[in-house]
Amino acid sequence: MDSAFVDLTCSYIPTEVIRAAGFTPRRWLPAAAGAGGGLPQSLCCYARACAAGSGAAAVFTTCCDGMRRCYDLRALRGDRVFILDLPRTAHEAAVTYFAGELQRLADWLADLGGRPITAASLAEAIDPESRRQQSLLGMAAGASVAEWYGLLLKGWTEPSTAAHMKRGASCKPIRNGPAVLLTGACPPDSGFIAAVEESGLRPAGLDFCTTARCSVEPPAGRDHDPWLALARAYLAKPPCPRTADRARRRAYLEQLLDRTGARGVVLYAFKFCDHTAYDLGLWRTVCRHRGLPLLYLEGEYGARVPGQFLTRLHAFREALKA
Amino acid sequence: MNLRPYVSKLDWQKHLRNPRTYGVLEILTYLWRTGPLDAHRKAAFRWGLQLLRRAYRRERPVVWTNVYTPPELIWALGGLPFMPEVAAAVVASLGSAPALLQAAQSAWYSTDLCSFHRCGLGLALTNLAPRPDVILATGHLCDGAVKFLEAAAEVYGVPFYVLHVPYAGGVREVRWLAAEMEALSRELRPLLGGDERLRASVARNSNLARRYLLEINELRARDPTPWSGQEALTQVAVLFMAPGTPGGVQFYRWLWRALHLRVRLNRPAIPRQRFRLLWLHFRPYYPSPTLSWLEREAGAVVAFEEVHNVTWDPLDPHAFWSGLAARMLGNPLWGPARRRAEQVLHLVRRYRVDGVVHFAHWGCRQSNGAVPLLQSTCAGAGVPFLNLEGDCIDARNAGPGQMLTRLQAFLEVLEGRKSGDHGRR
Repeated sequence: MDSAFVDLTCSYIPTEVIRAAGFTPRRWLPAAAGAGGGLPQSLCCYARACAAGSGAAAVFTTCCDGMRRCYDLRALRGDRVFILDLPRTAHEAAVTYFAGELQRLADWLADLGGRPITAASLAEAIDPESRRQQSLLGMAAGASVAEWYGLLLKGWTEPSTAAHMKRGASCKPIRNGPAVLLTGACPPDSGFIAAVEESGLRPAGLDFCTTARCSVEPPAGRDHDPWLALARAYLAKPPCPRTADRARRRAYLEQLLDRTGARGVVLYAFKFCDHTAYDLGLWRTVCRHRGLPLLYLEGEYGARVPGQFLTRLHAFREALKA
Repeated sequence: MNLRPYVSKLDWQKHLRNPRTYGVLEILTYLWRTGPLDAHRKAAFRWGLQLLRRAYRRERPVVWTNVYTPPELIWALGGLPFMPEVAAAVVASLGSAPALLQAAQSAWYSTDLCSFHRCGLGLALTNLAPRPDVILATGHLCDGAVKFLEAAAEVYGVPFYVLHVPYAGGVREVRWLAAEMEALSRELRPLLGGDERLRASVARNSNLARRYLLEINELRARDPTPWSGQEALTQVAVLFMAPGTPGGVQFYRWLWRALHLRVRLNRPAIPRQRFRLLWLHFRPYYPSPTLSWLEREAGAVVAFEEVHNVTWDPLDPHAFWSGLAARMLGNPLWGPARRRAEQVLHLVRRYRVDGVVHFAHWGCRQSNGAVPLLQSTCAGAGVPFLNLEGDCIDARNAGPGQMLTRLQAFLEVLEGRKSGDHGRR
């Protein structure tokens, strides 16, 4: 059954290409790596976790040194893995290059036994996939954010289930706490969001690669070539901390803060994630400029939320109320 | 020439920023009497002083970039290259890195980040380094380099460019990267002024230096090897910044003469050579007894280090950008790690080494992440492999005693293999 799935490790991998080849894309959010995962402990815990395969084919991007090495390790083991070279900017030459990379991905999928992708079949796959993504991101209004986020993760990781169709709230959303924006390079588990809510803060926005940064504008009519259109759409999606266009990322963060009305920012990082560590500098500048308090928390992927986080989140709430 | 005691007594920050300091030191180098065996050291030192004098005096626009960016790119664009990572190594060798690392830490840069980059940021935050006019990062080798240079560009408020280096190295990628570099040169021409004539001169100097470097590498394959790894790992600064200039040619010419003479006179830099090692990554640049002990006391000479391997073809001035593109794409440290592993095996055979040491610099994800693959490749070839954990810049992240213990244990393994007749000799 696993052969029908293709595991994706980054939100910059167009699911449309995977669908057009006849596979089912799913976000790979495995259990945390143990000590013997294969990669050194000084690498980010998400990259170390991804070193364990599910048996399905997997697509990596050159998004960080850790993931590149994870790809190397899995290739060495003989896993069916592919690495997609991801530009850091979205200028015209980068779009052209990335479109070529998407075609290389299509060739690999065909080698795996997928359907050969033509421009027409790709164009056909774009709209339904965009709708599916938007329905996932827009689902379960009224639930607590942690519950919504849990369902969202389920929708990304188990696309064959109808989990993302589940509606309604089993617990009341927090309406009164101070609004905060949660941000970070890597996807936290829902336990972290629940801890934020438990501490009396109201997550008004989630800027992670499993939430706001998944939002890809459907390709517009500018490009006749669907490869170019898709490449442009993905490179133009909300920029992640890895991108090298600070002005664009800053504009995006400012816009997020305006839209959510957040009164504070919680930056959640995985230990040894260099991108988040450098993003902290940008967040400090933005928050100082706006007079917003910033809380920096560093945790481990897939680990339980430590008690210390709750203490710090409570203290942050008090600071916001003061 | 040990400058450390003098530097510690001076208001060195003020003097460091003054171009006259380097002018005076350059003049003083004329008093430094060298013989044919160490003239290259003087050439390297003087070239470095000239570069700093010119950069602080702002004779040409200063371009900050990361190591492994071919310096020919910056010279051909018309700028003076300044690599903060190289500067970090120099500062660390003077024992002054802690203050700069502290400056970066005070600005919230995590101690988990690479100390080359933190120290480079410290240089920016304390305004000690020559001020850049442009910052150009190349996206190969590591992520940290791009991000710290981006942060430095913010500190200085100067334009920041990033050159995306494709992960694979086919014809399409070479063509694409060459076009990107050409576009960059057009964009930067009003500021930096590079032209065809300059490119031709850079290509000529680069090719001459390359030719000497190839001959040097050939000499290093001899047993006993004529050069010490400790010095070779220091002189990578020249490799990173000087090729493309007459100074680079001069350095490699002098070095080739020195090594040639050492071979002819049978006077290797390390007299007693029991083991030959291949060194991966860099070395501790702060004062540390590790390499000196390894080579001089334990007799385990670093016969070669991967960074000096010439993996590029001569530059054709008429196809300058595609030549540079091919060089960047052909860097075995970029792309899938199996390329690096293949190079390691090639160097093991070529330099007939007894073992491989990977210096696991704290915070270097790209190199440390490749260790499992390097380890398994070496194990498959029956070559002993040591992953030596430490830090190139921040002495607080490394215990010299622990490093020596691990090296001693490794040498015992090599000794055992030799006495069991499994060794190369």
